Amino acid sequence: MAREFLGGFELLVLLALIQLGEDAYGVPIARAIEASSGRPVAIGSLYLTLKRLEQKKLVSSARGEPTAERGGRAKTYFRVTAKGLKAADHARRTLTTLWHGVPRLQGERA
Amino acid sequence: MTSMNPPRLAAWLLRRFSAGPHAEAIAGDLLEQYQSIRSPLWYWRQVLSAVIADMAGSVMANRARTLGALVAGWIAYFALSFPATAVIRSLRRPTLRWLGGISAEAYSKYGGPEPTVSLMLQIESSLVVYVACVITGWIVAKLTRSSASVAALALSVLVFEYAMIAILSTTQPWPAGATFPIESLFLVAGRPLSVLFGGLLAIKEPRRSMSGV
Repeated sequence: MAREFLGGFELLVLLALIQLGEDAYGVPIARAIEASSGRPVAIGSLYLTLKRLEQKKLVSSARGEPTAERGGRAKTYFRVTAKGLKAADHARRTLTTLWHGVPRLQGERA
Repeated sequence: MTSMNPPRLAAWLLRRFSAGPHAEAIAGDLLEQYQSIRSPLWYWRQVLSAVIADMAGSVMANRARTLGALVAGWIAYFALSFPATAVIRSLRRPTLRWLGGISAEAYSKYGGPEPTVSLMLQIESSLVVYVACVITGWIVAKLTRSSASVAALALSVLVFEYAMIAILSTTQPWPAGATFPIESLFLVAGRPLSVLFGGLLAIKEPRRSMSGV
């Protein structure tokens, strides 16, 4: 089966999940992406991407316990699957190879 | 910790229109973040983007159901336009009489009733059409049990009606002294909203293990 390419935001989500490990649910995932990209993240778009990654079997989810600070709503924790780790590694290698072939960007210091 | 409730209407919209597998987690995440951000505008933006993302995802994942909802909805919309037109016609004469009829002066000046009377008649007929739209939304929601399908139908009604206004206003000659029908733009917006309302009446609020807002 042909390997699927990861979208830009999908890769960011996957890397945030790897970085966060066990404590990866919506809020910290959004904060990790916002901190690294400097752009606000819409929770709805984040969950849409997580759903897509789940459908691709790159991510799995598990329901946590409801907490008072969330108005009694449970968290959903996400973990990267072995297939997800492979996909992230493949994306890294692809991007690294492509970046090697890109001439120094204009204005970038030596 | 002192907790602060987010805007009620936005929280209600999220409850009613977010139906995906992670709906509860999304609501919880937004509430958790709201405790530190405390900006109603931020919450509204997040809710609207979450609802739109959820509906778009649902429509894309259930294309056949959405197509069926659109077909059923438009059949109902056109079928109900006949009794709606009959009701509007039967109401016109008594309403005109109640409003004082058409004066000879108004007829010679506007070619019909005065603008305020025309507006009243337009509002009356719009209300009848809104009822037909509510029934349409209700039927589609009962058939599909999906808010996303009803929203897709409402969106198609909005696009269709505004396209009709655009086509009619560019192809038909304007009566002398007439201005752009601003009131029609407002009144037509009520049709998709009525479709959504009809859908809300048919689909019960999802019961989730959550308290508070």
